[in-house]
Amino acid sequence: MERKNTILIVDDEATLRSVFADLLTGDGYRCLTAATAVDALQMIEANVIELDLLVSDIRMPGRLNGLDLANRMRELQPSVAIVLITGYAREMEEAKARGYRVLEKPFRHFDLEAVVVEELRKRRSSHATDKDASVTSIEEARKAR
Amino acid sequence: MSRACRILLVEDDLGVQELLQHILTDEGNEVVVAKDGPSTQAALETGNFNAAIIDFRLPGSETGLSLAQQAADRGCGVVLITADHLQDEALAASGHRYLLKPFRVEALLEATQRAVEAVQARCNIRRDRRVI
Repeated sequence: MERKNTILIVDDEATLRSVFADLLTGDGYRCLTAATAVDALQMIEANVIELDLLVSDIRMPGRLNGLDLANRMRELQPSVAIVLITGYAREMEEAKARGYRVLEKPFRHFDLEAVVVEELRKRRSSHATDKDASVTSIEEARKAR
Repeated sequence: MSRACRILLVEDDLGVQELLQHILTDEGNEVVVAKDGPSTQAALETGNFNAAIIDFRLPGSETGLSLAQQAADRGCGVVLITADHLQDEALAASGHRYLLKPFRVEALLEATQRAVEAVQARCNIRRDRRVI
């Protein structure tokens, strides 16, 4: 079975959520969606499905926004790539200051596709580096023995 | 999954139940949910399932393992799921397919398909023996 990258899309606007999901599903990704950061966090905390990427709007109603969600994701599953979306300059600066990849609204569909491809590629190469490091450390440990 | 199935999903966490149901339905499967022993047994009585995906740890007196056996006895392909990695050996010894959380969506779909195919293969062997 073909392995597809799994993306969690979080946006309180149903139309946008569905547009993003349709677009990325059409590109061959597997998409899960959540309407609020709280719902998304429950999904992440349940730790049932291995995720590759979180795409979340920053400004959302409720006690958690997209930035809070991204912070929790980073704590719980640091290997998951994160892309945040906002149309507000202050939120964008705050998110960038914390090291997140931010997509500024309005954007074209291929901007989203390009960012997704790039962040997943970075994730893969950082995973490969982690694996290389563990192989090296095993070999070093053997040599040390 | 290459073929749509009728699946019984047994999971007591409603969030996880909803998530897995969504994933399995999205693949064209028909999914019936249960959350504990009695609801699973009731579903098995009335439904004709190709597969049962069962959480290992469930509330009540029935364990996921005993429900898995009941489902298998009724001709379902079984996949057990658990977040408790300490149960790895017990699950391996059970003879049922199992997945440790977190798993990839493909792993769930593949395990389910294989469980269904294994049941189908056993049925074919029994049928062929009768013919012989």
